[in-house]
Amino acid sequence: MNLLILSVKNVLAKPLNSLLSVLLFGFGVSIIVSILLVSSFLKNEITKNAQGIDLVVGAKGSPLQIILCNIFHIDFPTGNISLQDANELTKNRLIESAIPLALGDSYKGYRIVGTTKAYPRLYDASLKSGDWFGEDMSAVVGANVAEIFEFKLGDEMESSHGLSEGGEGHGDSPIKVVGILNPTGSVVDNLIFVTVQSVWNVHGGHGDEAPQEEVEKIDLNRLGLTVTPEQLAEEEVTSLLIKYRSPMAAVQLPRIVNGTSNLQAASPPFETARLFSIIGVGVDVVNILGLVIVILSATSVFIALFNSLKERKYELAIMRSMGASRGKIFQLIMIEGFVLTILGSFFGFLLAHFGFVVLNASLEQIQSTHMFFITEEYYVMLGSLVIGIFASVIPAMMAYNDDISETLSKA
Amino acid sequence: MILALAGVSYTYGEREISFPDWSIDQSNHSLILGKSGSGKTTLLHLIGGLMKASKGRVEVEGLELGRMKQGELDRFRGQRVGIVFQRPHLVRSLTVRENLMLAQTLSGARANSAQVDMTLEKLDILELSHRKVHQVSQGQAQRVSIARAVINKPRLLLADEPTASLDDESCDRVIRLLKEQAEETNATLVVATHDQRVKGEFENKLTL
Repeated sequence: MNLLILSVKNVLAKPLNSLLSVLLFGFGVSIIVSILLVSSFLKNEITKNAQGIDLVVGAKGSPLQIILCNIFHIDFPTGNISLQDANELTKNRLIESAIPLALGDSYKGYRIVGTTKAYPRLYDASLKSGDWFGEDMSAVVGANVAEIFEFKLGDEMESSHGLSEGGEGHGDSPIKVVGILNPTGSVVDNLIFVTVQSVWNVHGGHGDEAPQEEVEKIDLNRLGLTVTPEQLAEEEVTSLLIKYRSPMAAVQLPRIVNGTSNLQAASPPFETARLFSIIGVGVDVVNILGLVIVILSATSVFIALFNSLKERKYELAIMRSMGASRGKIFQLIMIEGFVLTILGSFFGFLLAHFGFVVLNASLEQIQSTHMFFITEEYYVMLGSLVIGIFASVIPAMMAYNDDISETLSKA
Repeated sequence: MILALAGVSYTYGEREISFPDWSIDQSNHSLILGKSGSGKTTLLHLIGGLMKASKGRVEVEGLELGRMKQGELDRFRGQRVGIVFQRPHLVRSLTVRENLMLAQTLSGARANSAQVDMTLEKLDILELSHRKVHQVSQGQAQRVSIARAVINKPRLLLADEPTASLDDESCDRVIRLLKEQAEETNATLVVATHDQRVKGEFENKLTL
């Protein structure tokens, strides 16, 4: 009959009181842990998706919208920029590379991206089967898209205008699946890739004429595109994803771009930091809520111990009369507090991680589903232990200081 | 001589209770008789090492309790003294058997299942072994508390008002039981009571 067993039995002897303490503590901890998990997950996702992109150049408008649209593909374009402007910009010596994106269409809510092979390569995407998109109206689909629509090589899809389902259809120009990508755990998994020309063809309608006239083509090698003079003069892209040549570019290039009448530069780290500071207020509020619940539950642990102590005063005094030292009685009460807080915090962690897995499974946008444990969680564990100590130490001291003879003579 | 009191007094705030000198020989079961408030529980607690005398010497088997450190006194209580209180106060979250095992481990010994069975058997409550404390009757609980007091084979078995609320028949039975158990474990019984009915059962008496 050691102290741990006795403590556990004492906790179990009051199942409802103990359950209340454990539940309260658990919910508080789970709120804090959930926020930690979600925000670290979001940060992770954002940095993963924005890697290798130093600057996004789009049409004038909200820079945050440009980032959300062109990196995370969860917002609408601010507009288009002319291919001519884009091409001029890429000649700047501060730019290491530039990838063009032509957005605007989707297939059943999944975005079709007109671009070059450089874009999927940015995310280390590799082909699972088939070939890269080369010819017009051929597409390579991301792993999630392929899985959801059960695409096989050679399947055809009909794109529609906009990003939402039920947009205006482009029935006359179906796109053929020629390749399927391996999962990357990034935004690429949810996209459909075609050539920039395919996007132009679907929208312009005059794409049909082009192949018949054998005009001399212009090689825009900085963008990785080959276009006709007519296209260069008339067509547009949505944005350019730019990689700097030197750190100096971070200072100069945005100024140059924003000085150009139609262009707007958006820096992914800056905009995501801004986004986080906006979300951060909400995170703080929920965190405080979690902390309040934890403190409330610590109080309930304290009250539970305090009350049971009053009831068990004689029991404890008799244990001392049977040879238990003051220290043992102190330990007993501390362990009871620990058992409650550890059970509560364990329950909280379980709840948060379980909730996170369920959330993960229900959101197809999120790819990584494995359980993970982040370093901040160790601090939460440590913190809940400290709170457990605080809740138990006063009742334990009271038990320690009890005058057993006085208690027993009042029996 | 198992117990010797010499010039013992205890001070509660401003009130000082002085006790006459007294001694008990090994196996000479004894009685402390006195009205309530006369200090008999205080004396019992002094003998049992639950507190220290303000003045004088309390010696148990030649050991002076007043000189012991806190830890030594804890061990002394665990190993040499068994106390039966007026009310049983068993540990409610445990079964009868676990209560006895707790007494064993708190005294510093190892839990000894055979010893527990033997003690329960002798007190005729072996069948209660696995019951929770709230599932036994008052009388049974008192037997359990006697079992708890004798399980570690104490040198002194102290009982505080063991017969207070009992009818004549039960009163006799409890005193007989305590004597039996004391003899069984080779302990010396000291009963503190105001109950005149038990007067005739003991030769060595201290009246407060």
